[in-house]
Amino acid sequence: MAESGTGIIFTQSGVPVQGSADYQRVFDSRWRFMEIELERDFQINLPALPSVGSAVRYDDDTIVIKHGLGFVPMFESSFPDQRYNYALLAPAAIFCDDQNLFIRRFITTQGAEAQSFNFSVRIYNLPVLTDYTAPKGLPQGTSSPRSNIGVKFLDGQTAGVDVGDNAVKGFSVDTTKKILSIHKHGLAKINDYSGRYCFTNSVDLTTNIFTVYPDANAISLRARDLSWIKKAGTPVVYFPADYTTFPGGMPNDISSNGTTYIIPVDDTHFKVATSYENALAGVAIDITSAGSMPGQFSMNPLPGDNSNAIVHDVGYPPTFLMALVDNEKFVSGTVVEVPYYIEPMAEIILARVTADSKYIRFGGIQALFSGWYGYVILKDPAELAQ
Amino acid sequence: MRRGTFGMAVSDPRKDMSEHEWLNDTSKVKWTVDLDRDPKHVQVINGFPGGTKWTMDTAQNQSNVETLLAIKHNMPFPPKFLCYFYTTDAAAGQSVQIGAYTINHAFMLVNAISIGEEGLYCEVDDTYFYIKHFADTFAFGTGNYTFGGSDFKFRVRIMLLNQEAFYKGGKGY
Repeated sequence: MAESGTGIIFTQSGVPVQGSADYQRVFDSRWRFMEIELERDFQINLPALPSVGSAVRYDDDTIVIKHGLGFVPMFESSFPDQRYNYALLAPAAIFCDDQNLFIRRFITTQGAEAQSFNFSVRIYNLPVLTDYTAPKGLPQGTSSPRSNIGVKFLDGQTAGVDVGDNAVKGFSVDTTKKILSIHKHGLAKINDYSGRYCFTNSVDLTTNIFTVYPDANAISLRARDLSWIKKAGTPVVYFPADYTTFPGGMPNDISSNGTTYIIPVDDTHFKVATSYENALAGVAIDITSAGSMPGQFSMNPLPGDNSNAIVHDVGYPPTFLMALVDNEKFVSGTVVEVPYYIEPMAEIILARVTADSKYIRFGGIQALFSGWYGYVILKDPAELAQ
Repeated sequence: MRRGTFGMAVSDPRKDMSEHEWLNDTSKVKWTVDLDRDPKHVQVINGFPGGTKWTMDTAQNQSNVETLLAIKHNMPFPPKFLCYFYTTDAAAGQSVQIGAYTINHAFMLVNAISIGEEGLYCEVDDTYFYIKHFADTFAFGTGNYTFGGSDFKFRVRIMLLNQEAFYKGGKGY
């Protein structure tokens, strides 16, 4: 198979460049790599902060380092994420934006203790939230032994290592080793419908129109956003206040999960239909009674929804890396949108992942796996040892 | 942050050679793995068993751990690892999905509060990379429960990188 483009390719020993599988290439100058921009050890001393008024919460950010890359990079850290460790008075997490890496403490009415700790960080030279796909190599190949022929570049930082050495560290490029290259990276909104819901406390029995409103107490701005109710055919499941008394005419059997389909009216009103087709045709359910209110509508995936998947098309189930993306922040007790932040690379992903030659799909362990993630798909097969 | 004066940089095909517009840069260290290490640093193990079928008292807090695999890595530091568990067999009645991957951790019994949790996890120290099997009970149940253990089988792909590990593994709680 011919490949386009120009560049430099090194393959594993015994594997001709022509026809080599992408994962048998130890270096291809057309590709990105898991390239380390900087690696540092830090000691952090965070001051104590006083308590704030009742029911007020804010995020206290301390810049650890200005990386100045101009893009949000993938990074990893030895810092134990204590966001959910409420034994601490100020749970903390580590984040990165396009200029800085910082520690965030979540300050509540209890204030914050002074904290001092050491940690290490490794920032990668790749704009993980932008779309990138490498020129496609060949997915299939044969196993081969390690090469003793190749190219080495000293990293210029490790003392006592010569080009002729076979050292673990000291080289920024060593083509006698497999260099992990990147097939694709970008931002994935996994199961983005999850967590979208609204409440209703009235339905007009003449027009069959529900009046809905967002959860004013929701922490997430996304949970307060009702723009999704304006798309015809959006599936919703309904939960009455007593979980038993549904509006008259609404499906309430367990087998269908009471799924209905939205017929939009305006920003805060809609009708529901018994099927996606009826919703598109505007055929609403005749609601004969309100049932137990307030009730809750929760969004289900649209027909053909593929948001549980990342399309990679690398030709084999690949290894991959992910990091959770956030774009909200507490300021004086209020959630505001901010430019994207990314958390450290996840070492364990709480999902069941199925992968084939084209897709990586994410299912739940118990709850549905969802969220916005920066992802990196490596040119590296998850089931082959090469 | 300035690039050094040695090496070779390649720009994105649609960009110029302005800094931070490069696809790759030979002055920067990259993730690598040796392909000829003994023991192997990249390997696939088929039919990897889930370990002992412990019987434990769910009315008490108990914890069992056993080491199923130890690879002497011969590295001057604990290496970063990428370990993929592909489930090929699961104990009857468990919701674990056959044919699914998990990363650095294999879930066998999850969030069953009246019983406990069971799984495989990775760990690395100065000498070895380990895969360990654990089962915990949380004292919310009554009577004994026999965990799935060897009723589970996995295809495991291990890769030990030439970079030092920040994350040293563990069962996650």
